[in-house]
Amino acid sequence: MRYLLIGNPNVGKSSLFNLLTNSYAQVGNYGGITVEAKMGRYKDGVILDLPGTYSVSPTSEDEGVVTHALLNDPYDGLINIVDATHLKRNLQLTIQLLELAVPTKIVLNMMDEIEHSGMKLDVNSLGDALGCPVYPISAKTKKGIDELKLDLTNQTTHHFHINYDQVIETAIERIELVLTGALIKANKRWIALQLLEGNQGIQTLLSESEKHKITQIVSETEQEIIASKLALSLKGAIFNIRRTFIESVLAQCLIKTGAKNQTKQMNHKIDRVLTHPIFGFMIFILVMLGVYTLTFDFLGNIISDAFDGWMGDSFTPFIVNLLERFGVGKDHIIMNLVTEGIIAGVGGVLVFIPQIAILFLLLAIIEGTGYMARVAIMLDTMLSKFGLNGKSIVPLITGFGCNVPAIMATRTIADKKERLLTMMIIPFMSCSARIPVYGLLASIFFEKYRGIVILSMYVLGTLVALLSAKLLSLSIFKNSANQFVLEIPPYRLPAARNIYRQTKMMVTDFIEKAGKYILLGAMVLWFLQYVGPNGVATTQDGSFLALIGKGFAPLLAPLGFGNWQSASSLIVGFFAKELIYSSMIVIYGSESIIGLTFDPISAYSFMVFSLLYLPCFATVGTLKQESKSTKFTLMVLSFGFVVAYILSTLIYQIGNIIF
Amino acid sequence: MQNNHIKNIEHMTMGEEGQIIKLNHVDHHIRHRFMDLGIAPYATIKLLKKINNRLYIIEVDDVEICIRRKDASLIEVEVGK
Repeated sequence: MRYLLIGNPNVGKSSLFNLLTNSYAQVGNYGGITVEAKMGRYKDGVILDLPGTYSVSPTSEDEGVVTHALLNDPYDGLINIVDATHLKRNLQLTIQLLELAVPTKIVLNMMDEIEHSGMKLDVNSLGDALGCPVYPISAKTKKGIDELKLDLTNQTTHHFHINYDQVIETAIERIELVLTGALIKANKRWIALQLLEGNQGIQTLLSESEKHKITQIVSETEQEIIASKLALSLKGAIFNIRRTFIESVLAQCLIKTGAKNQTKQMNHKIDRVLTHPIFGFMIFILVMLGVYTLTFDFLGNIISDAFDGWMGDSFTPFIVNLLERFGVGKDHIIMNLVTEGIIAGVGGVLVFIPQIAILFLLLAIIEGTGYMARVAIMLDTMLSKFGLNGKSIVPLITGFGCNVPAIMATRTIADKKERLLTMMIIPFMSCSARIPVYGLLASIFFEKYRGIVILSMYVLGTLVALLSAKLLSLSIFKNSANQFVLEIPPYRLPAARNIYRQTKMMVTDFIEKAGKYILLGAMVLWFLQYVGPNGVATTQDGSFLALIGKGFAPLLAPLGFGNWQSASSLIVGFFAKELIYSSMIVIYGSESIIGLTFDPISAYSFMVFSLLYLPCFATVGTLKQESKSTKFTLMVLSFGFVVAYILSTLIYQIGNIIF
Repeated sequence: MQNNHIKNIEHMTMGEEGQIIKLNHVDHHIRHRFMDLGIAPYATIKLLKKINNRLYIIEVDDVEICIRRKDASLIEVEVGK
């Protein structure tokens, strides 16, 4: 059986998905449109996890996926997860799904919280009213999950019907007659209702003549509704009828027990501090510094150093020994490839895994608590001065982990211009792949101030991002709608299981990337510096890599690193930012040589340039995919490059005058 | 003082409750988003908090929602019913 998992945002959809499917979760592009849906397997089938949505007809990009999946994906049934503590709103989506008339299982999550909110829910009579099976669960305590799992193999029957107002019912009948059904296999009544609601995803599937007739019917109905003062719009009328239905259902099933809503009172108390204009901001800065310190100074660094030591003292000698046993001599080409190409290039990047894992872990925890919504509220005033809105903060902070999911996270920003603007500045957020090169240069040149120097990269990246946003919002992105409507979720303790899975997925992605691109990149890199136009290069200067780098080196002279080695590293770094580090290690051979080639000022200038110059290949691909515009993508690239070039030049030139 | 009157959210006092009458000049996109969140005529809303007199935190259907003043001023509410 193949299920689609659908629900409002933030109702525990991913938690349920994780509980129902075993750890094998595949993230992939699906359905031809550019959207990620997670697919997970359970005993006898597959569950597809769709992005959270309030309604079937889309208002933002990631909500369009649901309509698309409902119409085009092969499935046997729907699982609709519902927040039992917010039924009034959640059931609006449920009704839209039930009207589709396919087998649906309704899962009531957060049953444990319902008691704290001073309510009691009669699950059976809710099931009767909705005409389909209802499963009360708590994803947090795992209660009810086993029963649901057992029932996944059972096909269920259902019956559901809402009678809309006469005006609307007539319109439904008229549209049903127009639909030829050649294009759309789904339930006609559902299609008609969705069209009346203004679902644009469905309109695109109609033929020109159908579209023409239906637009006519919709506008006639809308006028009739406004004229009869039934509601202010057609969509509003449908919404109101559904709301009345929901209220009558809830009047039967929800019983007030009279206890006070403790959760709410607690939430308000915490919010008073966390969204306070002064304390709230200070706490935010402290949280960010805490994440930074844990990632770099305490935990991360200690583990990374230990790992580095183990690589150098045990792992490398072990491999060398092993190779020698197979008759590979110390000067043999394979020995050279393995030790100086692969171990130095890839191993060096892998050393940073603990730090990256901790960073992802902390970001996942912060996201899971509901704190990010408070940050968005607190920073909305400030961010709107830069042409952004509070919601931009989530993608921007995600960018510290990796720019790719950060760009995808901009889908929650409803206004197109604000979304593009946020996408444009994300590459300036210092992602985890840039950590290795900071670590390398900072520990060679700024031993004592290592922490501060690396921190300055994050601060600088953020400042450049904000100032760029300001600049762009005054020029290219003028007159954006600038809107901000945000649902504030209650605070929740994130489930360890979810945090673990999310972190694991991100880290596995990173290792996979290291395994593929960085390994391949390091090998190609090693080869290019080993071989030249005349066969094996006797000196690196005669290698292919040097030839390529030399072409670009003069361009970099004003920045303080006009040598082919730096140029080559930066070119290779476009494929994956970790490769900047790998190339430097492979090309220079050791840290001490880097120490002789750079001085503190040019090293700092190089770090800044690595931070800003170009997003990596994967990020460029995502930019193109999400913006659907090559022109925009090229604009992001050239804008970033110009900013990086100017800033690094200024740092190097002014730095040299001062010091 | 009239007991039963109409005003927009911007002029509500903290903790005040009322029923939405209509949304004035709200653009198509935001109207849709509002409806998804339950902000629509006949819904009961409560003003919970103002932040810097710029952001308004309201409660609709037991859900807290943050909107800007610009949008709050477009939502008409009947209070004291």
